[in-house]
Amino acid sequence: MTGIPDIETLADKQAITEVVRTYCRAVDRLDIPLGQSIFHDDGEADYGPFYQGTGKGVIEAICASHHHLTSHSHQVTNILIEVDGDTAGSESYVFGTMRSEQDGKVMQIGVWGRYLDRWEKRNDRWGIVQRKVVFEHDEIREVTSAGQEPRSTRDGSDPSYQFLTSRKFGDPIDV
Amino acid sequence: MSDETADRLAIMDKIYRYCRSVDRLDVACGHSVFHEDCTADFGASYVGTGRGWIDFICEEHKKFLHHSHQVTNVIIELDGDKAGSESYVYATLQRQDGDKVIQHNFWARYIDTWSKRDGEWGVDSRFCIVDYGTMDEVTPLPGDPRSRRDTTDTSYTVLKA
Repeated sequence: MTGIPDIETLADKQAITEVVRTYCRAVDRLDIPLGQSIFHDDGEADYGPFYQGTGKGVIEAICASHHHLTSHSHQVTNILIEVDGDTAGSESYVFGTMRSEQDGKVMQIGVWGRYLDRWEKRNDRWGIVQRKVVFEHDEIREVTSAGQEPRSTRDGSDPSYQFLTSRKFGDPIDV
Repeated sequence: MSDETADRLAIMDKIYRYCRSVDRLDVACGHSVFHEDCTADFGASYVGTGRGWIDFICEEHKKFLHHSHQVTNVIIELDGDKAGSESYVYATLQRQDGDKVIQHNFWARYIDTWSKRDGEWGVDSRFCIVDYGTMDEVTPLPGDPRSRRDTTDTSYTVLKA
């Protein structure tokens, strides 16, 4: 990429970045309406063998499958965005860790991957029209908990809802 | 809103494109991050030019199955058409060793000096510090990785560069 982007492009990139991060918040808290708000109504999602279908549908599938886990954290790092008028493409790296209990053992899954998204701005709102997820590598192992007090929850009692107060857990989002 | 914000985002974009280059083995993309006279000091593994490092590391990475370089904390200090930055990076690489899969983990920092030439930011010097690292045998999860290390990777359908 060459040159310095103009102010409108910077605002678009910032808006898209926040939507990418909102996805992580939604699937870690199991907040389905929040997760569905990142896709346009006709948005598509390709998560490989796990899920192929609509963007709204993949959020339901992920939140349902995450119920079988005890905790998880999706962390996005590198985010490259190319804006072209009211459309955009982006690549977001993610490192996700997930824990479950099996036969008294704590098992941790680590996944390193990328969210590849096509975007459209409709009615001044950036949303995903197509997402494809690609995984680099992953692992599963037994781990020993370091004994942090678990104050994190996967519903509206999570403390974050007292700090991000614009909406309550599970409230519908008009888009 | 200022030019300073635009400069910061342009530098961030280059830092991410470096990761994209070495993970996809995209030499041209990597060269675009460094000015032609850029130096690179990666300690025991490489000391030379920035673009030479890209050539070297893209070849070296072929010994691995796949890898993911993820930048987290980035601090940028601007001074007109010059800048300095520190970027934390967590890099994981997996390789086959007989019937085992070994994962290398690095917690490192890219220390860069920058200049803007003809409107384009590029790295003048890169110094890489590995704070620590680990190497473990891991159990990969089942699944067919759709990640590719060439331009057939799906990301090239959403990003042009």
